[in-house]
Amino acid sequence: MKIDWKKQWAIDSHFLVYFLDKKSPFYGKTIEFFRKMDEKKTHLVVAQQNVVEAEKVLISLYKQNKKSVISAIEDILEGFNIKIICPFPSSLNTYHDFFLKAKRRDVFDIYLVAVLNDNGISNLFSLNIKDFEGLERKIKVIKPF
Amino acid sequence: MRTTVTIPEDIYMQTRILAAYNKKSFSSYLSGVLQEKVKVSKKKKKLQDPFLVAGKFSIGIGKIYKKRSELYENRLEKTMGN
Repeated sequence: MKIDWKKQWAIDSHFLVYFLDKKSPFYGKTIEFFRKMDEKKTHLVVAQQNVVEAEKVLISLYKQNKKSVISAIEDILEGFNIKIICPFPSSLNTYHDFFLKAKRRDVFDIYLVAVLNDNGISNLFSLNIKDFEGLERKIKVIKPF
Repeated sequence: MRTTVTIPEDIYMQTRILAAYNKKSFSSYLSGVLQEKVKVSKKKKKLQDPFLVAGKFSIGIGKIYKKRSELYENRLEKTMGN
């Protein structure tokens, strides 16, 4: 599928993790992906949920230094001028609405889509397209590599 | 910058007392209180080339999860004693 780089795209948590881990098998492709977005001047957004998830992986699961991880993630967000989006009070209703209609039970994926939707974001880069099956009418998910 | 605000007299008096107690001018004390409340950081990080932090860690992380809920459920299961 052709990617419209000029649109506003949200990025999923794993890209933040792989960007920082040079031994990750996904490191090279992630760097290439960020270079492409940088070159195309893609407007990037990330949900606070994704930042927390990336930090959970690096700090809680892989025991990296808390300060170093926070600082590195802040550098990514500021350096690429990534807009951080947050839930609105109404996002709970949006989430409930999506959750009731969805066949899936993965609440955290549905909540992410609800927050993106409330912020007017309809495009998401993710490596886990299957996680968003059934939510195609709410979000367009592209696996960039 | 200089501005004019309208505040209740009792709040004004209390703030003056607190400023004096903290050995600060009214203006400086109020500015500090507001800064804390609106969480304005004085030290704004200088924008730098984000590629400088690429590969900052050497871990070898494969797929970070099969399902996003794994990131949350492990902790929940422990908490719930399952």
